[in-house]
Amino acid sequence: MILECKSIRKRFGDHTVVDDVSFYIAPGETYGLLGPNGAGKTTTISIVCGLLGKDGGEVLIKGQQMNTGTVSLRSAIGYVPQEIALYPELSARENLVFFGRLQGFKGPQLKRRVDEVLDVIGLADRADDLVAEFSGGMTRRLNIGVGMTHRPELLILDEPTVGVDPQSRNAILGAVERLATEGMAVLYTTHYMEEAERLCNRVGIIDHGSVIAEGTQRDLVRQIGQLDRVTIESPGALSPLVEQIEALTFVSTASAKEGQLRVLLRDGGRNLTRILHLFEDNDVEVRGVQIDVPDLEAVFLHLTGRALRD
Amino acid sequence: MGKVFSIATMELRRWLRERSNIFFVFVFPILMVLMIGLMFGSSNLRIGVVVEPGDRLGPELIDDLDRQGIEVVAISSTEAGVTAVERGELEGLLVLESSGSPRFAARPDTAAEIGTLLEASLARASIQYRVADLMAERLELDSAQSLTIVNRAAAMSPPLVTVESETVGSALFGEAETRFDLGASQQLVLFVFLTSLASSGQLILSRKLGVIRRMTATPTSSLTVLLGETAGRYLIALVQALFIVGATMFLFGVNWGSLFGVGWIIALFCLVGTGAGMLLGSISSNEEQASGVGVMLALGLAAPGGAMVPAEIFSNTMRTVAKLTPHSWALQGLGELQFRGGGVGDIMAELAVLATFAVVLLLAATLSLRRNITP
Ligand SMILES: Nc1ncnc2c1ncn2[C@@H]1O[C@H](COP(=O)(O)OP(=O)(O)OP(=O)(O)O)[C@@H](O)[C@H]1O
Ligand SMILES: [Mg+2]
Repeated sequence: MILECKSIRKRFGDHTVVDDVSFYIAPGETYGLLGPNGAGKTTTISIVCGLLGKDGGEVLIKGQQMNTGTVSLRSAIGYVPQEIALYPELSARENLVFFGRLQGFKGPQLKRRVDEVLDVIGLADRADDLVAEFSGGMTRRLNIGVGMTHRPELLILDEPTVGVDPQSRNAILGAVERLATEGMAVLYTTHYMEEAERLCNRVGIIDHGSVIAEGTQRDLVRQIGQLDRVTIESPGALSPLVEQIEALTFVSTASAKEGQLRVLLRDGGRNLTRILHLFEDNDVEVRGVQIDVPDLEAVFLHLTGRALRD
Repeated sequence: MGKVFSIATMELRRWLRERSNIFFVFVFPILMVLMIGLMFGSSNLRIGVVVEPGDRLGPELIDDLDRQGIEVVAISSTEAGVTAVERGELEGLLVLESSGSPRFAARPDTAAEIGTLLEASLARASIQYRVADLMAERLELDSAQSLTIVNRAAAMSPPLVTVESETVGSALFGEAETRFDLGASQQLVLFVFLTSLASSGQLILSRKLGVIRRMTATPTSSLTVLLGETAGRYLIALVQALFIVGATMFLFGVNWGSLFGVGWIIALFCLVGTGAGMLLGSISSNEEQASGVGVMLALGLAAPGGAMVPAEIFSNTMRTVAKLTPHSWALQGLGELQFRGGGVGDIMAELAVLATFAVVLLLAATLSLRRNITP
């Protein structure tokens, strides 16, 4: 295993933020930690990278203990922090070269690696421009580039697509996919289930500091059983409806957000009409209806009763 | 060691990228040296005169010097006058005692010129007295009256003799220009310390940017990061110090004395600045606070330290207070090298005090920063 987390635990004061989290990542595997804001994703990653002390459990990198004092194991990891961590006064190339040096690279080898990375993140033509002049998406891409200059065995990306335009996001996801096919193991945190679905071999769903479900996407969806996912679009007030819908015996969970009502229910095709009757009774307009098989979002909804993004 | 160097040079590079830094580090100090030099050193010769009670020559001599376009400054004590000459504020000092012959003091570079000038003036003044005495005796005038007549004759224009002179060839040695000397050493300590304290904000910014954390995510120990950051600050201070010494030497011909000695003072004083800057950076909560407090502190220490006005004008209490600032020790050492031709052996005490300042501040900063950098 490239990474094994065994029952790690972290408290801030008397608030337990990471509670008995265990998971592993095999070489070449892409593992997703999927969870809402404040679930404990960043805290978990900080512990894995040895940047934060833990209150219990152990982290093994290639079978060896990783602690805050362990320096040598760090070259196996490429850490991409959630917040941009770059020098704005330096150019893209200077940032890459500097952190490459700290990874122990020098001379022509360093230069070659830096050029390769600039290509991968699509910044070759802006290499000598100052980071301060970059757009948000370019800065994000460079933030990722700095984490992979040394070709780590495990690349750790903490919500790398936050606040990025769709084009940059696509470029980032594409780059991660390419690295994964080249054999790099990836730990990817996000609260966008589409990203987890696209990239990850296995997913751990984390909420309130605990991994509440784990497996391949198919495993997770199977946990829900024979449920269907119904999405109803409506411009009306949906919140009052949620309670009434959840009271129906065939409904597992329901939630409303952004003009959409999402319901997990048994036998969607037949029971949908009962739900639509409630819309009619409450005089709420319906704009669109869709029945799907469940996705990770539905899994999260089923497990926690909440939507992934509130 | 290689990584310490990488971090240090990266910090220097970052620092130099900032345009305002370029101005404050390189342009501003030189402008200050220039302005102070122009203010203090008029192009006239300035001669201080100490007249002891009972001396007769004084008034005639001062008149005579005045007629030659020399600025005469009355000085109260010989000691203060000698110091002023040493620091280049005066070109020479003449002491007229009631008993014994007149004495003069000047720096080696101007001693010959000032000596000739004063001897001629003294000769003229004493001849005037002799003539007046003789007139009084032969013509039975009262001595004050005869002196007035002689004086009037001496002051008559055109003068009895004028000598036309021309300069030929070029100077064999560079012209000894000293009016920038004091300003240069003052601005050196003032700005090196100011830069060190003001740059403490950069450290806080690094922590806020998450780059310090990112460094420790690479196989780099927090001790290496700490050493690198410290070395970076030190490099910034050194670059500025060496620039000021070099630039004032070439632009204004400032005489720094033993460059080996100056090197030692710079090496230690920059370390003091670095320690103070790192300490400030480690205890401030944000970069604005650090830079603001840094500038106030730097100016607040420079003034009593003698980096703004010469420490000679201070009262005794102030002089004692000044001893608490690293500036005063650095300036004292530089003065020894610049004005008294001292070598490293003569500034051991100053170097020892500066080294103590440096060690204490760096130690405090390290302890305080370790808390911040280690996870
Ligand atoms: N240094 C800290 N001191 C106290 N509480 C903290 C600290 N760091 C994190 N927390 C708390 O720990 C919890 C988990 O935070 P964490 O940053 O790990 O969440 P996350 O899953 O990364 O969230 P997000 O998606 O918003 O990045 C939060 O409730 C947060 O407030
Ligand atoms: Mg986070």
